[in-house]
Amino acid sequence: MIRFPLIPVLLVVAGFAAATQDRYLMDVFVLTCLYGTMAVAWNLAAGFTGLLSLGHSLFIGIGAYTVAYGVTAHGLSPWVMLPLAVLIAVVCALAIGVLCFRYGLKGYYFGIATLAFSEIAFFLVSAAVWLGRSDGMMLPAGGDPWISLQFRAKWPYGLMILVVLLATLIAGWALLRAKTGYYWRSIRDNEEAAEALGVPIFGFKLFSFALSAGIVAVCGAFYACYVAFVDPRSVLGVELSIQLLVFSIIGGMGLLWGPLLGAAILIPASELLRIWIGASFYGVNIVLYASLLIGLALFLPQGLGALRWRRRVS
Amino acid sequence: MTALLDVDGIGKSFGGLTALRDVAFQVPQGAIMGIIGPNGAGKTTLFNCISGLMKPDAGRVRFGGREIQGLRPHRICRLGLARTFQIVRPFRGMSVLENVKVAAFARHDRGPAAEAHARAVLADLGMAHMAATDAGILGVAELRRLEIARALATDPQVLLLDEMLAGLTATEAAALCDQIRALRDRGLTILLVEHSVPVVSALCDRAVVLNFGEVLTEGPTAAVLADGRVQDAYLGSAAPCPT
Amino acid sequence: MVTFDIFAQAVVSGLANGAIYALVAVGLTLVFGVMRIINFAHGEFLMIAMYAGYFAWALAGIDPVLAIFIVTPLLMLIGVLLYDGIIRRALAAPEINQMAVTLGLSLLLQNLALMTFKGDNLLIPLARATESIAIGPALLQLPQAIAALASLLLIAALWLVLRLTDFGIMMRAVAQSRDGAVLCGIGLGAVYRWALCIGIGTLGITGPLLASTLYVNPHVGALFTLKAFVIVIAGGLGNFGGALLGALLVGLAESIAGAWFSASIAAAVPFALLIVAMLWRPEGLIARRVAR
Repeated sequence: MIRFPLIPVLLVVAGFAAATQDRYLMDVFVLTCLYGTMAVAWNLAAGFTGLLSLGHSLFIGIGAYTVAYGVTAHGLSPWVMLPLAVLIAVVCALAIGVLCFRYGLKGYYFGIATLAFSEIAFFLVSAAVWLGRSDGMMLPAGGDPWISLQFRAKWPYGLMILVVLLATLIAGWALLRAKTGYYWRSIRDNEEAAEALGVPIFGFKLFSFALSAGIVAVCGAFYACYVAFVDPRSVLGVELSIQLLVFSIIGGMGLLWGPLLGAAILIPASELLRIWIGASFYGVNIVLYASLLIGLALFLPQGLGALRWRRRVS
Repeated sequence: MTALLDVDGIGKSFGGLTALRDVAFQVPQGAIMGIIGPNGAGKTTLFNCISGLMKPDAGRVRFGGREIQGLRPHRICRLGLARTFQIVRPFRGMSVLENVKVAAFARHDRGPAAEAHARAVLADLGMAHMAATDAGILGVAELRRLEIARALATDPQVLLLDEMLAGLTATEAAALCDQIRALRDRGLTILLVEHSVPVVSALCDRAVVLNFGEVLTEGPTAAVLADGRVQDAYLGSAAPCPT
Repeated sequence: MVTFDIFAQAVVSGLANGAIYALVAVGLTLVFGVMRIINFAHGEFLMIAMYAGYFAWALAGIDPVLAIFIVTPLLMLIGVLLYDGIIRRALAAPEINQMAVTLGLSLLLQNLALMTFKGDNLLIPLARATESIAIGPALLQLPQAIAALASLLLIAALWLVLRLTDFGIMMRAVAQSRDGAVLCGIGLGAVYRWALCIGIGTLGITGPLLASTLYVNPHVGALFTLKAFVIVIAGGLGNFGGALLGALLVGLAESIAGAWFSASIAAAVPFALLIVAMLWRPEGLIARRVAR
């Protein structure tokens, strides 16, 4: 059963309230919500529909680059570019989905195909002069901050990403408890049986993939405004797609808010590690979280979020 | 009786191998009809061609006068023709109720209505007590019943059952046979694939015999089973009667 | 302007690179074909083999060609440990967890290497590295030629092992039908262990040879993992001939695209090839016809 994620929602709101006290805390909060939202969206396709995308960075990159290009080249407001970014991402997702689903690519094959699409985008953008090649693009500051979305303070960013996250959670909850969610999960568990029971699998797979892509494109657009800099490595790299998988596995793919939990554990933890150990010992925090990932995938396949849930069932 | 399902000259081959050739028969409304034949006769392929899982190379399938060959399985299901799989395919990440609810969504768009319908189907089949059970932990007999429950939840006019009794104990098989008769008595038309001749003779009004992808004979069960050619095709493969 | 000489050079280097890719991909295709697990950490084991080859030269002065005979057993041992320590437990888990395990392993090894060796680029500077063989107007560096030759020999040897030995027959049986093989009394555990042992072991040949033509650093493996995926999938799972063909194609396409366009666009070419291959022939470039 899909319950309303009340506790996660309250915790996130409380987290925002607490973070308004401190600039650094707000930064951690924004990053947690940003990656949490992207991972929740990824998991709608991967965890609930069985579409194990390894190329979601493509859609994040589309969001980030569309905004960055509109702002730097034409001086347009991110608000204008945002719908365009989502549109492009959704159209790309539909095109990739139609190709892959028509040819019956599943499981690993779908993962590798999406990975290939995102890698092509990575290399093409790295070569495109008008997108700043591999050096990336800097978003200029100035103008009315509510139009250019370039704030000095951090809290407006926190507020914005909070809204995006809550909207994603509420939309995800509403979809999962309705017909759509049941159809997605039936496709994940057995496509042929689902189709024999009246599920139009092609359409519902496309819907899941495109919705997921659209949400991460919003996150990508937000990233461009927040960091005020985009380059292929940070918004189009494979590492980004893999991170979404890592958060989801650690938090639990069977839960709507599981990926958010994963992000809420790993992002503050790696910030803390960075403070304690210092930047000199580069790689230590990734070693720790890779070990955690392997351990959880082997011994707690449902993720950390399932710990409480499992006890309640038995 | 009028023919609800009309299979007309179906042909299917894989590479150079002909699985079905010019298969034709009619299923009258309200009948329990059996498709029998030795292993590899093309029974499951025929089912796949009727239910849309495979596209026949030749021929027509008419359901209530409408041609359905080549339609996607979900369209055929929504028209009122539901099937079960010989190798059970539960949604293992869901409970029994949720499994049935997926099927009920074919007739009810809203969640509460679908859930009520799913619960009614489960209660009908005497499965209400396992509604909350994880489908992943059910045994074979229960999974077979879940297959039937899911198919019924799509409100079919015709039910295609693929070897429902294989691997069940005699008691389980007998209970399932009773259930199938009860479904017919409620107006469903049932087409079933069965490997075991005694099951067919106990359950079916009419039978089609497939051999090497072709119809050997077709007619009332008793007459079909008395046919010498059928006995030849089946020599040595009779199984004890489960009913 | 692309002259004939430049084109010929691109073809020669492309084929040589392709042969090296094949050397990396055969191990991956063997493991994938037999176990149906994609090992995202394959390239990291190549990285380990390259470091092993480098240190054999740097600390003991062992020539890379000889180092093969030390590094290969080491990598085979690592393969066995990998199976018994991690992969065996992952086999029963869902696909996504298997993916997470090998991805985690890849991250873990990369960053352990980063902590141990720092990010410096290391290379075995051999005297023969500057020598070349002239093929028409094109030149082929000697270490590359050696690696390409080793690649062909290795693929031929593996093919013979799979064709002629009992062990090879068992492995092919498991690759075709896991359940069928079990019914015939084949112990899956042993076959899987050997598949990983050989699959990772092949990198023991590749690593030292590559360390004299390519800088070793903690991230060198990731580069190869992605290309090896492309090759394995384009060539068909567990298909050595397909892997060789796929590898040569990828090497050629990359190198020719590099002669015309920028390096960045050339890097995108293998992935475009992969998509075309997957959509056009999902079962692999030279798959046999399978009757159902």
